[in-house]
Amino acid sequence: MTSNWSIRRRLFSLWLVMLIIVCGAVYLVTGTIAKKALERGQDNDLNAVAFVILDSMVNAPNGLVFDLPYSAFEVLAYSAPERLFYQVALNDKFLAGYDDLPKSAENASKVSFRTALYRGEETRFVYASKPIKFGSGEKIWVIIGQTSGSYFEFASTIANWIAVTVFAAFCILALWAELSLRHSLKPFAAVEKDLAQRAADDFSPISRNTPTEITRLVTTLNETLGQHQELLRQNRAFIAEATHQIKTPIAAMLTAAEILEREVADHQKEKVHKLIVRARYASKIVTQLLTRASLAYREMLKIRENVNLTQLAESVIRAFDPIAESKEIELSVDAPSHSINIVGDKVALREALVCLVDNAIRHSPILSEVTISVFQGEETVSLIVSDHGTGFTTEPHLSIEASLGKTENRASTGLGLSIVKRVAHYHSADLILSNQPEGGARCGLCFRLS
Amino acid sequence: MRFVLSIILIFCAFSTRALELEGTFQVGNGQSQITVLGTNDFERVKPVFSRFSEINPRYNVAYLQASSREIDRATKEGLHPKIDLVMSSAIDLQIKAVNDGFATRIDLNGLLATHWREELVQISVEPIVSIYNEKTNPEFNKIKTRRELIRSIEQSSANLRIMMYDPKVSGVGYLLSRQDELQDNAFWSLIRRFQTKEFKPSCCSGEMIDAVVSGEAAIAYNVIESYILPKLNESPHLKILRFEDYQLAIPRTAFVPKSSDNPDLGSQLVRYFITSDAQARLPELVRLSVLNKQTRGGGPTKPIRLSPALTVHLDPMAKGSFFDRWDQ
Repeated sequence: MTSNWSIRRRLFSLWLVMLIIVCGAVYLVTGTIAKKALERGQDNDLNAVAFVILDSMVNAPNGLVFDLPYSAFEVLAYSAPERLFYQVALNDKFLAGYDDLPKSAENASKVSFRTALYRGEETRFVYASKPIKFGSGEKIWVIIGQTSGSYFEFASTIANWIAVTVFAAFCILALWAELSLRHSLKPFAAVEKDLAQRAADDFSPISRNTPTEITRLVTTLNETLGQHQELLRQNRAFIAEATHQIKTPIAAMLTAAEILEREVADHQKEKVHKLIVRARYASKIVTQLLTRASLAYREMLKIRENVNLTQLAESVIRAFDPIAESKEIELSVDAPSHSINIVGDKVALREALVCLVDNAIRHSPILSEVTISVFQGEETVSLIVSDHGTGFTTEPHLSIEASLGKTENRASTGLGLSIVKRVAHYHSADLILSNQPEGGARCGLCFRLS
Repeated sequence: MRFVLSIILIFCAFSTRALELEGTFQVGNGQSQITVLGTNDFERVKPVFSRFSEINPRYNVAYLQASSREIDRATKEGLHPKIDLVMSSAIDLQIKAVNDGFATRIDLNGLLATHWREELVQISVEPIVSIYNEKTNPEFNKIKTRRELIRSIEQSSANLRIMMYDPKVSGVGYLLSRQDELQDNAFWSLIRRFQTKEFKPSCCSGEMIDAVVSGEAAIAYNVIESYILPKLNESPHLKILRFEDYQLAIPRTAFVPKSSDNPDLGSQLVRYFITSDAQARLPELVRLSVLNKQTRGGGPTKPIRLSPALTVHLDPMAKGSFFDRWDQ
């Protein structure tokens, strides 16, 4: 039995095997019993006719006289459409009937029966004898034979019917078993439903009344849930702590490097500046790693809410205002007067937009513009950030593939676009990365409304 | 004729002893031949065979007419494989042949028929009646039962000549006498009464009918009715006596010999024989439907049952004790 078979299938196959065995056995047993019973009846009839002949025997002066009673044979003929044979003999001397009937197996007893093949058919014979007078060694023998075809047929009909009845009873039982199985599996289905419906971070124990048979399963499940909850808690704590533990020294290092930059001699300033850039880069990577981790967690929670993209764009621009100002870059939102909404995770979308704007500002020359455009098409809503910087020097999609700091030409961590891609994927949105004809990059997300 | 000739040649060549045939006949032009061995007069069954070969143009039917004893002998010695069907009114011999395993199953295809083991099928009947001469013996007009006949013969002072089938010579006679004996315990007193008169058992229906027609015999007991019919119109004094107590009828039966080359041929013919189409082509008197008719007059018709018990009457021992009693 293959291990992935359903319980129903397992039960059904076991049931079927049992059914075949029982039906076969019932057929054989009832066939034998019916045959024996019918044979007994046939024997009695044959015996009766034999004794009618024996009893009709008269010791007349001109020898033995006996009657072959038509009506007794007629009774046999009425009982079944079978061929009839008879023989009357005095010891071994043939007197009347068929002279080639098979001999009796045992000669001693008064009455014996046997089945033998005679003239091409199974025939039941009775051998009856009687001494011609009291104490005489001479015996008159009567053999009556009747073919058994219809008796066998009847026996097998009985066996067939009983086997069919057993089969029908089994089928009804199988139906009942199917119903009981369905009923017994209900608690399993309920536990499964409970697990399927709960939120990803819901590790509360399954608290329903379960039958004793599956209490252990539920207990084990609850223990596992508890372990997972603890594991997740530890994981979160680790990320938070690790981020904090790494960020703090980097920040201290950055401050120290900035102070050092002012104090060192001019010819060394260049080296210290590189140190500062590297420290900032490290700080950024840590931040983005944290963002990615938290996004992955949010994705698991499957958060769905109404997000006003225009508002989102405006709030991101406000956050970037100081940086933009320091680089003398003008940030603007290009959106229709009415609000444009999509369903999604607000925090994730915000992170994606932050990455895009951050990238755009970083690659924009001084005194240029960065625009966030929000617009609605027939079936899509687009959120695009465009700048007038250097644009993509390689094929845009390759920029993402080469992740984590390899895109040095844009001096980014490289994690930014991979975050955007992840958010796009989560919202089933298309990621747009292209160069503008008049120069600069055009990056964003295109959401499908359906 | 070509077919019949070939059949006869085959018989001469293969049989242990050639069949003594009373006639050979053939109907139809089909390529494949169904050979029937029977006791019937061919004229009687010819319309059925003709119609059969009309419906089934593939077949022609060859009919070999022989006596029932000859058929019995040939059956025991082994029939030629070309013989597809054996038809006879000697029901006891037919039963014996089937009981001894010389027949094979006839596929009746669900048709209703009287049969034994689906091996011996009743295809027509021969009702049995008695006849008398109304002119010479008008007293028989009033007789209704066999007991009345006994009384009438007892009271009659005339030396009546009484005829019946001789059971010692005629198989039909023996069969009918044994059936009478079974049916009616007055049978032996009837025979005794007969024996007080000028009792003249005869071999054949024709002889008995002629004797009654001519007024030579007063009465003929147990005559096959279908043989009387043609004489009724020309002999106004010939009267049929139908007993009210019971009337015998001999079934004509058919079996397909086990030795047959193609048992299906015989089965096919039997199946046709019991259809109403075929029955309608037989003389009305011998159709199977006669058994269900109340219009025939007389008492209940008791056809001899197709039973293996009939074989015990054929036993030489049983025959011996019957004739002992007959001759007493």
